[in-house]
Amino acid sequence: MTIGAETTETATATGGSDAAPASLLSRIRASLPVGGGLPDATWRARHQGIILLLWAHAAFIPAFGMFRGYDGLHVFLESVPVPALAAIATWSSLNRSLKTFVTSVGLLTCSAILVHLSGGTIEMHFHFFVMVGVVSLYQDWIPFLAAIGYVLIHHGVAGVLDPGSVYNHYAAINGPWKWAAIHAFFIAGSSTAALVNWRLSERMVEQRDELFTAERAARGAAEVSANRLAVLADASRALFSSLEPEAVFQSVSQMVTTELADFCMIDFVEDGGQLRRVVAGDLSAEAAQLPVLAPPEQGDTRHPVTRAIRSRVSQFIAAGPDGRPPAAIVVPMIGRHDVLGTLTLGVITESATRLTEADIPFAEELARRAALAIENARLYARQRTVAETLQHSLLPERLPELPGIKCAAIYMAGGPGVEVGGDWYDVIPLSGGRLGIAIGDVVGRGERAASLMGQLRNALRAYALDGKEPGQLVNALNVLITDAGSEHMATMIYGILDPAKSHFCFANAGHPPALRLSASGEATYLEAVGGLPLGAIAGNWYEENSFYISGGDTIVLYTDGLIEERTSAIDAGLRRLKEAAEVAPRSGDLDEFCEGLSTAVLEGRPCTDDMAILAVRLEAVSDRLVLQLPSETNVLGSLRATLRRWLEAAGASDQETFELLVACGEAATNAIRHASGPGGGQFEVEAELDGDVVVTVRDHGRWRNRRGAIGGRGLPIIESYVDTLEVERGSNGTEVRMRRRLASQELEPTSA
Amino acid sequence: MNVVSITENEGQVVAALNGDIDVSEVDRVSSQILAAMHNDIRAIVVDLGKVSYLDSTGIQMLFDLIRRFHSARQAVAVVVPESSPLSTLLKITHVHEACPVGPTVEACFDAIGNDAKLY
Repeated sequence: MTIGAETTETATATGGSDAAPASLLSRIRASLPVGGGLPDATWRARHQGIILLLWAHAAFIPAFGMFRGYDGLHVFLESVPVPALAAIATWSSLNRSLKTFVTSVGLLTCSAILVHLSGGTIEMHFHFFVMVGVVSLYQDWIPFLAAIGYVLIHHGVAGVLDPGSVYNHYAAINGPWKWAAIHAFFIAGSSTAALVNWRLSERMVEQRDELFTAERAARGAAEVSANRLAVLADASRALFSSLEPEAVFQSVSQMVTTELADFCMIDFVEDGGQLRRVVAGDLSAEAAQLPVLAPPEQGDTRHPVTRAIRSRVSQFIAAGPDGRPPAAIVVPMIGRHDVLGTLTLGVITESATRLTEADIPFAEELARRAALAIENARLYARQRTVAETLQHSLLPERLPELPGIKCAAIYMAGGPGVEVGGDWYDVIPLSGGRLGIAIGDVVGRGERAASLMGQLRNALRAYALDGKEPGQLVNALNVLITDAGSEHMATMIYGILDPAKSHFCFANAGHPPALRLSASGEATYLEAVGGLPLGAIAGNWYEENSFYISGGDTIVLYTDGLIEERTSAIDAGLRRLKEAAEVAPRSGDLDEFCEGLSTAVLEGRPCTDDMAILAVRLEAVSDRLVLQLPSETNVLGSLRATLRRWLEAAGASDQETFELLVACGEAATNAIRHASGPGGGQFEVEAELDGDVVVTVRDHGRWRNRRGAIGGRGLPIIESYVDTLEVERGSNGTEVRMRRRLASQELEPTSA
Repeated sequence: MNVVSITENEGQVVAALNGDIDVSEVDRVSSQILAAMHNDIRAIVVDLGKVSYLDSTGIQMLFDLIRRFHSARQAVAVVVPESSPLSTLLKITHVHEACPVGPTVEACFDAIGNDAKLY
């Protein structure tokens, strides 16, 4: 559209120069003053002054006539036209032009009378020039034309009739018309001088008007650009106030739609090179006519969006005739390296002419800032993803499901930002049904702290699986961290919970003490032989501490983010945790227990540091043991540990315990190994005492082996170790029920 | 935790196992024992004195080891103290029919001393 407008302008200018020779007359006309242009008020003021001058002559002329010695009648007759004309000019209802004419004629008549009364002296002719000067105040053609005509006719006619009344030298007296022409010529000259003067002052007024118009336009433009600068400033603020790409886009579109356009679209270049379009603003059906509104087809190189991306040059789409389709601007959003996409601004309302090519720089500036903000947002998002990935890779994906032991943990990242915290925990099933549990906190945050944490976690796992006892393990980690020359320190607890022996053995390296919560709700901190944080002193020796843990007890490990806050001492935090643990419901879910604990201790204040809680509960032995287990061979150890505790509680001897464990182990191994099909991922073990010990192993798969599937050696072993064995195969799985009378139970009926 | 500890003395090896040996451990245990073997070894005693749990997969492992040692012309015996709950298990599974089973390491070496002459 603007292109069209410019073309039109150029055409006009060219046409003008072609017609130049033909329009000499018109140019002369253009250089002449227009006349009659005085505002009415100005004309009236000047007219009054000039009339006053006329009336003054009406009074002066008779006096001059008397002085020159003419008789009264002569003086009266000769001077009477002046007051007559003055009266007409003053009181008549003639229009402005006629009044101007009458007044001018009146003044020139004064000159003629004075020349006559003075006897045609040259000096009195000067009066004509003064009067021409006076009437030029009207800034009109009428008085000039009147003056030139008057002098010519008066001098000619009067010079012929009575030369002595007009001239006082012979040359003129002998040739009155010739001298009338000469006088008229000088009057014309004087008029021309006045004209030039008048024209110049008129030009000055014109220029002043032009300047005024230009200034007003400039002020308007300045207001627009000030608005846009304000928009850009707002845009920068809004754009950088958010690090979410979507929010950034919302800001951009809001800026644009209030200031410039009706709608705004962003086509993001995605990783694969495809475009993802986001549209904001009011898009009516009419807008669909706009070619940019259809997203570019694959390989469409002519599409404005594609062109803007490839060429990095803004594209302007001119409006059609009558503004349909309306105009649009497509600007590339250029990041540090790549084109991030395009920003398309368009109008769809009747104000379609609003968007012009002159708006491109503004749109480009906006796109530049938006690109910067989007890039920042993407960078931030990427960093945050990296941090989160790192963080999650350092925490166990899920806690192991173990028979007889429940585990739960929560982790809360402290504060905003992309830095990775240094807290971690781990739960590692060990041989013999034992469980390694660890919690740690690397001092500081960020990638270095996280990387140390990762090293410690991996080393801890390796050492733990290798069978290192807690004291040995923590000492080994201290060697590792001091040898690595890390400037970071870390606190940690590593402990092994042995359900079979009912004890918890651990080593503490400068970490807040573990809390033991008994089944009856009594909480005690497991005070340890103190150790410095890992990395504090090379060769520091960490002692092992051992505590009795009974069924139903919960061990709570946590990091200092839970108990520490800036405003209160660590003791207060420890007291709060102990109190919260004592009143927390113990029967419910252990995850809920952790949640409840963190809520109660933090008391609603935001967590400023990272915080982790790991709770491990040794389930109490009940009359009836029911275990749901994953079909994995590494649960067998825990199964035995739990069953061993239960059998001991049931009064089984060591030999009986061993034999029942083997019998149950055979059945469980088969359930894990051979059970397949839907529901094959889990199996159940139940143990109950109904006079006999009854152990049931139930799976949900089909055993492939026809003969009860219990391996060649397995079946005779079970048969020797239990009193009765029932194997029930159904379509939903297989149930192995084993019954054995304990020696201690055999005594009871006789004693009772 | 090391489930196997192996000591060698003049062609005689004692492989002492401990802890629980179940399906998840047998492969590791047998490969640890086999890795310690070489041609100069004449006699092996597998000591189950500190084993707290052994099931049919463990028994199967013992039979496999015995067969391999015998085919390599190596004598083998298994130690199970009388007090160990495992002793009944070995009887049920007839391990003593495949190789000597004795209450101590010394008793086992004595037993295979006689046996070893066969090879």
